[in-house]
Amino acid sequence: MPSKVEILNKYAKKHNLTASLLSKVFEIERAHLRPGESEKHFRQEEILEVLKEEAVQTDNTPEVSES
Amino acid sequence: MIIERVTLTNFGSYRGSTQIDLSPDGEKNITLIVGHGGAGKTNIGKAIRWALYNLKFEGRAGDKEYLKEDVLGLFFREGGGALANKPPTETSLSVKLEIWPGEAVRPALVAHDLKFGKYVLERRASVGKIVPSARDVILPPLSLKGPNQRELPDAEGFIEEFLLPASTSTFFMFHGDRVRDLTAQIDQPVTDSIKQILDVTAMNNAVSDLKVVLAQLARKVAATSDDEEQRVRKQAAWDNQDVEERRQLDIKKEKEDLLKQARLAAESLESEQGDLLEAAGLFAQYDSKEKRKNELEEECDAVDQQLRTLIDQVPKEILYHTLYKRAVDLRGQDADNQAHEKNIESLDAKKNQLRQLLAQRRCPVCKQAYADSMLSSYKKEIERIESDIKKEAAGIEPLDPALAEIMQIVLRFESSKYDPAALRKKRHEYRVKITDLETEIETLKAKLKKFHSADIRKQAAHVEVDLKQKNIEIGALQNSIKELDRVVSEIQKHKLALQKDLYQLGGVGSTLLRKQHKLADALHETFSDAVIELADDKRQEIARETGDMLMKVTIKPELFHKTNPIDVDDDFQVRAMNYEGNPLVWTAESSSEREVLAVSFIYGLLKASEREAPVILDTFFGNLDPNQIRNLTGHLSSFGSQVVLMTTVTEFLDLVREAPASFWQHVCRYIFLRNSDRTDFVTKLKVITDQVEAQREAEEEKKEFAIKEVKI
Repeated sequence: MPSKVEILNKYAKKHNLTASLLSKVFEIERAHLRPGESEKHFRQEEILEVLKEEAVQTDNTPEVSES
Repeated sequence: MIIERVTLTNFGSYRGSTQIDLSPDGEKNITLIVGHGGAGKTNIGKAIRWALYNLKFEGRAGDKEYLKEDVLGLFFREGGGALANKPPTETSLSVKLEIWPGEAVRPALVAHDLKFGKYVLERRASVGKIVPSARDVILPPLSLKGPNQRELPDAEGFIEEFLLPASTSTFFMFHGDRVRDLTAQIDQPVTDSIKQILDVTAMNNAVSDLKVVLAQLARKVAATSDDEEQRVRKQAAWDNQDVEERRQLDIKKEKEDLLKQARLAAESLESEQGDLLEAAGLFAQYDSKEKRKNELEEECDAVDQQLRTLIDQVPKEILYHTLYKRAVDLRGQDADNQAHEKNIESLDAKKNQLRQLLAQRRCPVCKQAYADSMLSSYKKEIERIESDIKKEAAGIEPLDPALAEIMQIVLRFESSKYDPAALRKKRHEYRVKITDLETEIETLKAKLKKFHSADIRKQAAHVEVDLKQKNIEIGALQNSIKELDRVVSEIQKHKLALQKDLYQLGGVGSTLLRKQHKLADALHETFSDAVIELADDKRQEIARETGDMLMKVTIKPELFHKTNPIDVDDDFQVRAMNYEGNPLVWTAESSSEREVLAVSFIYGLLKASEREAPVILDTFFGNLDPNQIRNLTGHLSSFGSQVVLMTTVTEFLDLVREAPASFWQHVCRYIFLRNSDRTDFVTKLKVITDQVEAQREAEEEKKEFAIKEVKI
């Protein structure tokens, strides 16, 4: 059976994502598994932050048109 | 993770500071802790769970935390823990755990600028008064020190993220009397914990969080759109779908609540009416066995009848034997006679032909008269034939008419299947089966004695019907929830398409926002795809690993389905399947098999979880059959890198008798606990590394304990 990381990497490759971005989002989810709405909100804020960082980092690369 | 050492100070029956080494030594990964009841075995498990999670050891997933009044009961007391009303003898207690995180988390530790090495956790409590109450208990925060001896913040977070989450530990550390709960009540909190262990929850959360993030980004992107009219229309369509999604989710929640209630009702029915359900099962068995017995008796009677009919024919059999020889002779004679008669017939024919020619006296062809010489030769020929006929006739012997009848009997016997021995054998086989069934029926009758009342049978049938109805209701609700999931997923797809349109419309929106949206979209797709595959793989892995271990340990393989003994459904409910491929209904007779299933499930879950966890089983072997102990112990070391078994002295001696060499070669130490001085109730430790010495110690301890019990 493939491990969780292998499965994630397989789909990350399929959707042109870097393993590091995927692992950042996954770690956010795993680190905040305690239930509660505030926790959920906190997770989404963190994900937005990570997306922003990643978008800024790739700001110089040419954008691929939406297919 | 590996718990290398536990230090107990004034905890339970441990006065002063006591160090307990639990570290595995390479392949020798099993530590055996042996002691009579009250010696302090369970206190070690309690201490570990309290220190790590502030949770009770005897519980399972969803258990309550320690309250101050519970902590007050953990302090050492002279005279034993049973005297909980007595004030503690010592005013401070602590549990220190020296732990190595698993190799798998090394990269995560490094990523967080943490060192890979030994971490020390310490949970303390104290009381400021001589006669304290619960509110006088002081609980400092849990302390965590890294490999460099520096204090680290957020010890609880560290345990959850890098060691073993609380929900996970409930599967791997528990007291034996709770083991059946693991499979008896696979309810929502338990399946939630399983999903969490397997990281399915984290991925599902990622999917739902990313969906929200996508929506937020789409709105932001759309807010900068040129085509306002179209954007407003798409936004309204999205809002409608959003409202519809929430409505369907509300319905789903209602159904889930109903499902939870139905499951609780079914569980309480099973637990409260367990006796009646057992009775229903026994009655059903009794009825089916009685029915089968009656059928067998009828079949046996039929065979008896056949046998009697055959036996009636015995005189004919005698006849057959005594007259057979004569009949055979007669048949020979008959054959001779028939040959003679045939010859006579042909001679007669020839004679008649000649007579005809003689009477005509002329040739039928040339129509001329025969010459006299010809006629005379015909006459001579006729005379010769007549003499031949006389000779043939003389050879014919008359047949006895009685013997002709004998011949008929012989022919009938030769064509019939006369085999009374086979029928006797068949009848005997039926009788054996009937006797076996009678024995089983008697056993069932004995068991049913306690359900003697006439009403109980009716009540049992009602309870059984009630349970079946509940299960039908549960099935219907599950289907309805699945259907709602499908509807919601359709709506979500529609919403996503609209979101993409909104994204397209945001043509003049910020490039940064569009990039974020695109990344979120790709992440959402990735996690959505990955979680489906992960959940499928993990379900299969748990089913396969649990099933493999179950079939290795069970002593009743006939109870389970040959190829797929374990089923893990979409909601991670784990069930054993019977030989027909339906969920197994447990009976009172197979209770130890249920424990075997539970321990196999722990194994399956450990393998599927990709986690390293110590397995701590307290007083687990008591209810197992010797063969189950033998089968299980042979595989225990493969459960994980650290296995801690707590056993009573009697259980340990059972292990000595039953466990194979492959178990003993993995035991690294034997820790004997004694608490036999009935004045202060302080646990004392003796560590042994040799098996023979450990066996001697256990035998002596058993003797001593028996003598003390008699004196008391």
